[in-house]
Amino acid sequence: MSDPNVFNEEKKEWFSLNKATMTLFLVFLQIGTFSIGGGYAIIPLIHGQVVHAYQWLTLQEYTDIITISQMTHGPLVVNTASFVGIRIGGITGSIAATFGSILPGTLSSIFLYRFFTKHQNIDFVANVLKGLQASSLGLIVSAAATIILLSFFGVSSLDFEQMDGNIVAVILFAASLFVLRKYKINPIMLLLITGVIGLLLYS
Amino acid sequence: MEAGVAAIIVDLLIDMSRVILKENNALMTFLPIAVFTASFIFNINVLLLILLSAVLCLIQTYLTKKKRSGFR
Repeated sequence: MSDPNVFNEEKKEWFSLNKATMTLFLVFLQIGTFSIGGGYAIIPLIHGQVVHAYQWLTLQEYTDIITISQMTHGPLVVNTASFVGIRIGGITGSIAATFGSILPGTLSSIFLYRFFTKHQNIDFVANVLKGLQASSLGLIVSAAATIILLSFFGVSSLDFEQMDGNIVAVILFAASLFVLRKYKINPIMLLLITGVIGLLLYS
Repeated sequence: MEAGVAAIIVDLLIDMSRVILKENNALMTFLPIAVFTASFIFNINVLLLILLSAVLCLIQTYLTKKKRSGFR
């Protein structure tokens, strides 16, 4: 006869794995539901859930994911969901998190397409969309401020005592922005160049 | 590389700001500043901010419509 303790342990493990998968699905479903305004607008939203609420990643790891997601295919939310999912719940967790993140967008796109083709002349609908775009801008500025603070001063909030200025990062940022605005260089190329420069300077 | 990512985001922000400012609508100009302050400085929940922005836009559209119909 098999040992009941072993069976209980296996059962516990199975439940905790399923709980983690379910939590991943629900968290990324919530993120997917409110990811209005494109990939960048949800940076603070994912940050709030993944780094602060559940502490699945550190801020540095999260910033690394943003950087990696710029170099890889697919939207930021899908990359983050896959990365966090595989880390917390293996392949199943990765599938659950990714599925959760894309489900609301897919369903709402189908619903909104039908809604807009029917009511495209309604002022309320058009104005709310413009308003969401405007508030997304505020959210992206907030995300950019976090990344800039981390890159320039090594901190994620306005903590003046902890700030340690990095002049190389400031120069790289200014040069990158200039090249982007002036010559409309491909962002992937820019990331590769800044990556190589960073490697040479920091190693 | 973080500096490169920051530059790409700021580049996008400049383009987005231009589109929003073109609207010439006081609420659309106010919203990004208010949302940034609420999110970055006061750490207010992002979901709450999105919902509140949508409600404000609905109120603005309602008031504009009411004003227009009042002039007729």
